[in-house]
Amino acid sequence: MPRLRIWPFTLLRRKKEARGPWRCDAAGISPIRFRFNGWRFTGVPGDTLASALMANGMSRLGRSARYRRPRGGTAMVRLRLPGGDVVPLVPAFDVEIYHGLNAWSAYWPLRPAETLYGRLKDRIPALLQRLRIPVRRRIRKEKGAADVEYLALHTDLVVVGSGPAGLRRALDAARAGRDVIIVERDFEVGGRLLYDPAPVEGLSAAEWRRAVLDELAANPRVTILMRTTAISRGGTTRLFAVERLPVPARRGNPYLPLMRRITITAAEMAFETGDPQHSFIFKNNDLPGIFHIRDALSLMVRHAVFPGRRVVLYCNHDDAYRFVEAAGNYGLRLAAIIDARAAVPAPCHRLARAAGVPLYPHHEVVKARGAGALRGIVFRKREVGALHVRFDCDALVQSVDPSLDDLPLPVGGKIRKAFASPREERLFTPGAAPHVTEAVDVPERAPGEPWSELLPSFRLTPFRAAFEKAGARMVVRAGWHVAESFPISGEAAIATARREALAAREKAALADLSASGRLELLGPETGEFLAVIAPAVDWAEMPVGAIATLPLAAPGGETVAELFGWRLGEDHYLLTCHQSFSGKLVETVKTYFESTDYSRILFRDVSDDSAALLLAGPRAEAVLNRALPLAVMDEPLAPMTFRRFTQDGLAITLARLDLTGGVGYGIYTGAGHADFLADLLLEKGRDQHLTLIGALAADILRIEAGGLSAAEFGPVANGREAGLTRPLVGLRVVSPPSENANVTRLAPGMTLHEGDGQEIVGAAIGVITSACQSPLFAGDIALARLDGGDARHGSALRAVDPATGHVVDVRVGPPRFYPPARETRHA
Amino acid sequence: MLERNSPLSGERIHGRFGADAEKPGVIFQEIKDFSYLEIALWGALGEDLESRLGELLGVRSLPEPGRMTPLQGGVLLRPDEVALAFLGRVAAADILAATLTPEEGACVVRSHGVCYLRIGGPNARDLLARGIRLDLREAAFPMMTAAMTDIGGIGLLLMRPDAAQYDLLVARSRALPLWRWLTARAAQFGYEVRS
Repeated sequence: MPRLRIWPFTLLRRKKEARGPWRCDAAGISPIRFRFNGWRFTGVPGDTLASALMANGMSRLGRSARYRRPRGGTAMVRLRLPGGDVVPLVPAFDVEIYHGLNAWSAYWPLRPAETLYGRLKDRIPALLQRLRIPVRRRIRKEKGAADVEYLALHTDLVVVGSGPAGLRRALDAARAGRDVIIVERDFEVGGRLLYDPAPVEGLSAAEWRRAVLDELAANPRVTILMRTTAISRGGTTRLFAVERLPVPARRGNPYLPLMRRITITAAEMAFETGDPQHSFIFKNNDLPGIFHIRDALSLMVRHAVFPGRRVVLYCNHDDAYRFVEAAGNYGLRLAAIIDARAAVPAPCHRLARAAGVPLYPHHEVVKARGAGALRGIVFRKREVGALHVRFDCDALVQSVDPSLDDLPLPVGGKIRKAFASPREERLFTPGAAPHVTEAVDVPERAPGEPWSELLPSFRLTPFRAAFEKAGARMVVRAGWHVAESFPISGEAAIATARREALAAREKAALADLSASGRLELLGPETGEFLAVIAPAVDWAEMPVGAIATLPLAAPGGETVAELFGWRLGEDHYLLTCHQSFSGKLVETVKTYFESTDYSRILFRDVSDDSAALLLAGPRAEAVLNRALPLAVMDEPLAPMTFRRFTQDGLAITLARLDLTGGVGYGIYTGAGHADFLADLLLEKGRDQHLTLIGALAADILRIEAGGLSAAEFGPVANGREAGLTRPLVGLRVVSPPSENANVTRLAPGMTLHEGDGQEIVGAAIGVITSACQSPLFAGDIALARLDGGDARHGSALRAVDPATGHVVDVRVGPPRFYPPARETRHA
Repeated sequence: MLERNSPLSGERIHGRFGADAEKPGVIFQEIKDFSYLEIALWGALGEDLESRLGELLGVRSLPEPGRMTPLQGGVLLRPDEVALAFLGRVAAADILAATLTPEEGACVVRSHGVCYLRIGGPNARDLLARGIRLDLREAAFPMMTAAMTDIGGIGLLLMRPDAAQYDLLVARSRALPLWRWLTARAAQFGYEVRS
């Protein structure tokens, strides 16, 4: 018995209780205690939430989401689990009760209050915050936060529905050696067999069901998915279904998800969901308390719950009269039978008479009465001008044979077409729906929810573990999870970057180059192929061990990246690039390969295979001397060359690269040896104050050296096209320094304009592609694409942020800031 | 020769995890001592090369697309029409690489770039069905089958060396998220990580 707390509900509840009992017979069964909308109830094993609540005299369990009409067993509920998980939106008749179940109506309480609450609930916290009233935030998982798992199953036959037809179909297929999956939304297999005692193939329903299930269970080719609802299908081979896992199972195995989204791919699909249940059309035919005959039988036979205490049967065919017998078996005498037919056969009359039930032939229900649940009906004889009769009842069981011609026509009320599918195109009152229904069909449409899981798309460099251990702040950049900086406690990111960049200019620094693009090419035609891709380099004459800088042009002629080309062997080459170009590199080479006739070439993206570090700074050679003595044993490495050697089992490729403007080495080894290399260099470089630097500092070094990234080639932050027709220039800020040293005043996407210190003249003549705060020049510098380019060196321009309108005065110079005296390679 | 560090180091801890069960539903093992070669043959396998490979490694013929062929010290894989690879012992890979002349083909050693996982146990297939869309039933994916596929967008080479086990070859940079996913999903069956 529910314990009630609030007096108006108490009165209502007591009134309902007074009509009981609702349970046919539950003597000797230990009860299951559960909660619904905060109230305590009991049920019995095998109950659904709907049947248990109806056994407690509750017929209205919630409201429909769309029409806000009262709903019975079809009402959606949410299950709140210990720990804050929520199972969202499950029909009450699908929920199997268990000890400790805590369910809430999804659309509750009453409509006006709910609407008001809905309007205010988002505003109240803001209001309280404005009034400076402390708000205790409730952290809980809401809709969609439940643990969902995705599953792909394949089979020869999928059968939706486990009634006699479904089980027979599955059995035949299994006997023929086919893989079968049975999808059943209930928590018990059997469908109609669970409540309809009609014999099947000469056996009683229960015996037949038991025999078939035993055979299916013994066959490893058969999988039965219970508590699984078929949602939609894709063509004739794919079925999308949702499986709700039993909550009590999680007590034994907390690793189970709450639900699974299953994609079943089957050679054949069979929908054995039974005949659709049709409704008579009359006003309010969706009130809680109005049942289809199958649902009423199921409630009574399977769950031992009366659909009501004063039940009316409304039908138009003989078969419906079996309900009179079934009800009689459970001690329920019907209040009336309303038969829409003009001529009701004599056996039906005899049956009604024997049961002591008044029969109204050739009558029709005009409307159902009641606000939240059925209180009575109004019916009349099917004649023009017949008198309307009010009849009190709390349950109406309807059974329609839609094939008969003289179906009652809708009378009064607002009528409309509710379902558009040809099979179910029928008239309904607004919001009307069967009280309890079965899935009559599985629509063909794309499933609305995601049906596969996406894992993080970024990649991890081989130095991730070592750098995280060293205190790196990790970020995702150009698809890689890289160290952004190595901050000292409390240090701002930009200050860290400045400190690290300065270390690279004054002492020695180590940066992760593993995210850079690397494409290995080998084969007898590789040299010729590269000559097509990058004709600026004489690949045939290039000595083994040399590195060349080259622009990569797309087949259309547009330059898309700047690369380093390495000759590793006779027919063996490596192309490397800044990580922002790596996608372009692979894509462009593939395009060339497919559009040319060269076939004797093997090319592979090998960016996963090696670990790469950039060692830069004036003390870099000293670090190398200590850490890798074999590298510099013979003679110093010339710029843009590399050397391969093995030291203590570590296979190393050492390259002298111009990446930072100063002394710089690229050190490569197998990705699996990344930790050895990092440990070795850090240990041996300690005396030289070797500093780990992150991507922010590396970017500063690149910009100071005028190095190119994808930003210099493609769309920049504000979506503008930088345009390679505009030459690259360097910019320095000439405005007075800002008060906050940790704010960079130039940013990618800022446009460049003519103008003096007072105003901006004309349209944009350029755009900033990369910007940073350089510690070496104690100010903001940037790379930009500018009309006129070299001719404007020394001139003053205005950089404008298109989003904020913020203006900064800049001076144009060569794109290479460091080292200042050298010629730039971009001139 | 230095031992390769695993991309899963720090996360791959040996022992039993997940749901309590008498026997683990899934058994994970990372294979570290292996060599992986991606091979390109310029034309059809010449008789000369075939006989040399047969002599040295026991290769009788190239595997059909989607199949694997065992040879001494490893397997030859052909996950699709064009891809050909060797997976196995380092020594066998060296022999294979040395046997191949530039006129016949070329190979790239990718051993450092991939992570090699073996998944066994009674629920291995159930686990993979939570991420892989391929039909893994016996008839569709029998022993000695290989296919390129993905789990949650992470590309991998899936192999079935024997009836009870599946082998996964995944890019090193994507191995850790995949490992976390595998172990999270395997927890419901109970899993064991073996050395």
